[in-house]
Amino acid sequence: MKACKYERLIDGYLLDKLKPEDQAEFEEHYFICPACFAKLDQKSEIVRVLKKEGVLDTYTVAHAHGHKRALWRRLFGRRR
Amino acid sequence: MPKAKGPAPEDAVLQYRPVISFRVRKALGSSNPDWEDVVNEILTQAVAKIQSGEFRGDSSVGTFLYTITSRRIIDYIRQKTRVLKHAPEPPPFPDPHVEMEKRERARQVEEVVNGLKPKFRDVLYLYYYKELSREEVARTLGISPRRVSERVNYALKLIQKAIRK
Repeated sequence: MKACKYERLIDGYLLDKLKPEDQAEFEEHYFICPACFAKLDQKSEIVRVLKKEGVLDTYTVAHAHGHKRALWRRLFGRRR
Repeated sequence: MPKAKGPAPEDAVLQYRPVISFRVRKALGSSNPDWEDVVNEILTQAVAKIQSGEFRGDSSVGTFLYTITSRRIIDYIRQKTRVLKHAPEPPPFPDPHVEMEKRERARQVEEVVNGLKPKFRDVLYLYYYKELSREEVARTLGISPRRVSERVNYALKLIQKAIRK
């Protein structure tokens, strides 16, 4: 089944990144498109969990990069 | 020829309760205890307009309800900014069954996220938690924006699969 063209706006809508006119258009759309609303509703629940403290923020990219830097320092014996 | 009888206005309108609730919660904030009252007011107003013949079916029921919902949200926000409330808001009374299901789904999402490889957690963290754009995530991780989308979509598919079980 072909995806609805409005589906691409779901993330932006949930993260409040849409332009006001796109937001209004999408809001009007999901009142008449059950498929988009079902996806929006489900994704909203997932995003809420992902944004909850302790779910994703316990492991961060900074940590990962920190480990790499530590390894680099160990290999080359450089300490600042 | 007699007109085909459609569903009663109440039934037609009530089908939209989840959509209206979503829109109202998004505008007012999920923690705002007034959202449920606002939704009920919208539904009541919509039924009354259908019954009085004010809604003649020129637009779809969805568009009609979208218009009522948007107007009510604007009115609510105007009222709230005019009358600054000083009394503490009463806590909402969530449906225990719905709350339990929500908690269970949240637990499932967390379980999947915890089991993800770091490269997938990284994109979810930067994209949804830090709210970076796809391009910014790509630059941070040194991968292409397309790869960012692939990783986000893959992780979401796993999460959705776990929730559907």
